Amino acid sequence: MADHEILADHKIQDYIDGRLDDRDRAAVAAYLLAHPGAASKVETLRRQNEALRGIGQEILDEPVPARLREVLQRQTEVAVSGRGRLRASGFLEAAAAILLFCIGGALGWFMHDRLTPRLGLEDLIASNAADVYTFYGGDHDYPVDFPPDRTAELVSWINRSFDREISPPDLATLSYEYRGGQLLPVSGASIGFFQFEGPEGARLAVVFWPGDQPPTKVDRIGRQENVAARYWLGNGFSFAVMSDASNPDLESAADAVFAYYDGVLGPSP
Amino acid sequence: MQETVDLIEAEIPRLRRYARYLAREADRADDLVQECLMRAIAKVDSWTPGTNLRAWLFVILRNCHINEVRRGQRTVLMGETSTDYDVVPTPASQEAHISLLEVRDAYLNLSEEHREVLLLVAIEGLQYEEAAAILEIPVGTIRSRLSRARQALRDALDDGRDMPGASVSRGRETRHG
Repeated sequence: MADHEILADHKIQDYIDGRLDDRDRAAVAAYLLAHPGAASKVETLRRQNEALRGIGQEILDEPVPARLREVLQRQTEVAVSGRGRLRASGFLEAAAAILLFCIGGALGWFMHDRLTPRLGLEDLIASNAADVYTFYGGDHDYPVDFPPDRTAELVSWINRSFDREISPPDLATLSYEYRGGQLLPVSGASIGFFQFEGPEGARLAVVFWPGDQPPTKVDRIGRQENVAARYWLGNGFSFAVMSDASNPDLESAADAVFAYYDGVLGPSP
Repeated sequence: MQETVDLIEAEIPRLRRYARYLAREADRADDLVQECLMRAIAKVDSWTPGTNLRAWLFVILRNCHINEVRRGQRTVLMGETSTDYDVVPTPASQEAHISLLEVRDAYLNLSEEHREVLLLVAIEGLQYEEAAAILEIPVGTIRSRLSRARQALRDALDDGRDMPGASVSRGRETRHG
């Protein structure tokens, strides 16, 4: 029967959700005019919908936390300057490539089997190389989300993300000062990032991420173009210390960094 | 690019509301939003101007959440818990025939699945197709799930009316599809 059909539940729903074309909408409207009972049902649904829209309204009314606006602003700056840098130099590309090289090399070494399918981690990084380019900046004024005065906030966020409290290491004895850090998104995971600046503007970065790596330390060093990285699989975490290839402090800084995290995360079996 | 960033910024309150549904704790919800914003900027070129930015952001946000759950965070998968949903309503407007409070109570007692589809379509005003893309289910499933969710909501409201003074307590049993 046509009347029954026209007010099948899905039809009413499409009517309320504005999904009918003009002709069907007019037909439903005409039907409702002639059938007050049905019209009342539709009206109830409509009011229910209106009431639903008020749910969570207080969240919309809250002021947006400053950190969200800031992160949006900073990431935009990074993205814009990153694009410029990518065109201008191969530094970022090299940085990402060296990270991939190190990860690939370390995993390959550990597995003693080049034919074994790549681990997810490598793909993870590879598929998001663009993110790494964007975030692993080469400029001295790299705008990190969390400058040193917001370290507590960053560590708390890392803790929530990784379920481990990982703080920036103290590299003062090597004359490197902590300049800030952040969490970088890659698909399916996040990567932590701490940046340091040393004598004459020399830069170092500590990059780390959690994973199901075998709990064995793998200590490798890789160089590519003007970037060097030393890479270490810790206890449930991986760390890479990266710098310009010409930076003579990489080795000692990596020693200090790895020793520090070995202590924090507990010794590997 | 700045124009798109401005549009994204305007969506932050909506992202926070959906994140609150997904993550439940306000701090964790904002962490999710933060990660979503970073990813959104990193791949801003993949958004097609003219399409629904909110829906695009919701896909990213939900993926961030799922990734986090898969990483074995303390968050439980949606649907595995009846923990409270701390999105609370603003005071009901006097003239509303169905009070917001009643609807809120009834809504909170719905299944996770029903709440989420109502959130996306009825509350956030997304098209079925957009909600389908976010939840990774067919449009037909959105339509039928929505219909059942609304029926469950109506049943819960009716039950509440039948028992004056009693809070709406039905809901979990209406959970199907």
